Amino acid sequence: MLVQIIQNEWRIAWRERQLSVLWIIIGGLLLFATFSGWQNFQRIHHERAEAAQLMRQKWENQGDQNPHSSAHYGTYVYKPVSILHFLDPGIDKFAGVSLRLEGHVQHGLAFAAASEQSSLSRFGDLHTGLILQVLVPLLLIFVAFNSFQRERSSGALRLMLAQGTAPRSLLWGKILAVWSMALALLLLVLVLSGVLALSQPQLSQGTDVWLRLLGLTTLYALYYFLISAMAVQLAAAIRQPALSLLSLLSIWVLSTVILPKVVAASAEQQKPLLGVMQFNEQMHEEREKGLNGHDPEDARSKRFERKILAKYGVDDPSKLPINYDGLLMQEDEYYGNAVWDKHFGLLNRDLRQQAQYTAWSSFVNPFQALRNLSLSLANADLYQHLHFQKAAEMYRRTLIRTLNEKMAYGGSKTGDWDWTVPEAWFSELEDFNYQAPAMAWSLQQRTLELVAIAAWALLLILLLWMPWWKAERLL
Amino acid sequence: MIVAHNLSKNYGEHHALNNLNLNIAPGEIFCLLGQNGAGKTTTINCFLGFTAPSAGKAEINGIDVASDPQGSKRHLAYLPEVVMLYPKLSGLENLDYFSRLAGFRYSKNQLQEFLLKAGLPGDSINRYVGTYSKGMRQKVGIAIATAKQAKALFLDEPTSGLDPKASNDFSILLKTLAQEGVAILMATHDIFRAKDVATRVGIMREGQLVATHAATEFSATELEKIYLETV
Repeated sequence: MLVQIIQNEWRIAWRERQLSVLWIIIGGLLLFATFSGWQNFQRIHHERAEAAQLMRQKWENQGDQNPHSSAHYGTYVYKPVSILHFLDPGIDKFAGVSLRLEGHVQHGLAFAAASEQSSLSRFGDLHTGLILQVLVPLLLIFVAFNSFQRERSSGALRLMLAQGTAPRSLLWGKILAVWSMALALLLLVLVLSGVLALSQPQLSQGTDVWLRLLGLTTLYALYYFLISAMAVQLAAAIRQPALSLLSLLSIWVLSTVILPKVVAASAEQQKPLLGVMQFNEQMHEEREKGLNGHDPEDARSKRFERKILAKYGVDDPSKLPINYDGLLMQEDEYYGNAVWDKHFGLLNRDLRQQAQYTAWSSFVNPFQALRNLSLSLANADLYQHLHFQKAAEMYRRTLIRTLNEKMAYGGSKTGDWDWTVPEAWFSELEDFNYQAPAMAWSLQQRTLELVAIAAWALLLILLLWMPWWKAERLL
Repeated sequence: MIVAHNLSKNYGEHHALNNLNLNIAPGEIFCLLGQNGAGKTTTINCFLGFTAPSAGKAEINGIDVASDPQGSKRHLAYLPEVVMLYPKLSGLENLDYFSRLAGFRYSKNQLQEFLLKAGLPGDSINRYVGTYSKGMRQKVGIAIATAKQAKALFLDEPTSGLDPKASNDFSILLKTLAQEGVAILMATHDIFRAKDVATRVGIMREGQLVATHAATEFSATELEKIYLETV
């Protein structure tokens, strides 16, 4: 019986020109957005790969160099773009993609990462994720809002029920019909995405990409079930089609536009972030209070000097068998790292608390869960950005420590700033090779959203099993 | 076949149906007459399971509608007053869909036969129902009822809005169904049509069946007089 109802709903929707035209327009938009998103992804991927390659070439071809000069010369690392960027670019555009790595200074893009909370990333460029999140639910609302009224006024509903259709079967049939219309659109995207990903096998290697693609498809399918179940149940409960449409559109505007903005603003109010200038000033100030590799008069510097001289049993750095400058600079690094850990730790804590705040709102607004999980599965959310930032900082620390240790123990003496190491040595240093987190890690960060969206699905299924769905209520 | 035992339906203080007792045998056409609000549609709704009775019970082929609504529906067919069906489906597609909902799968030829037997012109079978007259839609409705092979048929004001020719065709169809052993309960305002097709006529007033007569007892004019005196 369900199959008959689904088939009939499809047939009627198809014959009603407005709906079929709307479906075709959204389907076309999805295909266009997916294809253009793919082209955009390829351009960004190539740009970043070329930039990373160029920086590595520069690093390897820096000539014979003093390690400390090399540390100041530094390098850049680039955040690799996720292959699923073409479906949901996430916060990439607002979070920044390159990080300068050098000695003494830690550059960060942490502030821009907060733009995940901003409306800018919500209604930016037209991309597949935006159409799937915003326009497809709107289509489902237009399909569902009149689904009972049409049959009530034509007498077909009484006839269907008299033919033996159980009220709950009718509801399920209509829900599944509306849902399957969305699934058909999702299938279009899935097939095109699969073909595009397969066209670049070097980018789609491994199972993670495919698991994420499957995860995204499942997520959107689940969300469309929520929309279909809610829209059909409301259409069944509200007799006036205009009121049914108005209610559904109000829910759509509230969940898609108003609530996410309110929650984002509220999260920022709960946990306000420092401005970039203020944050940098605080970091700088705290670092100045401590050791400074170029300030031998500093008290901490003196203490460290005494400790090293005592260790080697000499009374002057010039008598040390090693280069004291290298040790002092590394000591400064350790202090700088502690300052970074403290400030970025606090910032990350605040960002995560903001993210948790929005995550909790998923229990009120499933759209928030969808949006956050979509970003997460596309590997383009705040957590992934922080993961990259941490990996880049860890690489920087290893690189600068290696350079400082070379300076200290590589054969030069204190004050020997003209001492150089051969170019080949720099080439041997390992390049930054960022491994994006696996899907399981991404989902672990979004447990609240997963629970929320599952709870919504359960709630709507539970509502379908409520005893009030009798013929009397539907007619 | 169609039995009501002390069937009552109250909406708060209002008694829409008050202690109705009814027994319609196979092959019988029982016409319920009465003014708007007399309880005719409520009676049909109780048999269809569209409304739960406040007291008493409605049975179809021995099955209590309230305790087994889906089981009782296997034995009944229904023709509502408004039979718009699905305007964007053809007569054949409508019949096919509603038959499938009832659990019957017919070939295209069988479906055509049902429609032709119901009196639908052959050239309109594949046209959208949206282009049909009310009489033609009623014929599709009758085809749906016959295709279900139901033992009980409920009709709610089926001839309202039909022209005399269509109304007459409809009467012939009903009589044919009754001859095939179907028990028919028809709610109507049309005294003359009731007299024409009914085996028995019941007159309802304020939820009560106040009079029952064999249709052969009176002429249409006499029946009209009785009706006016009763309501």
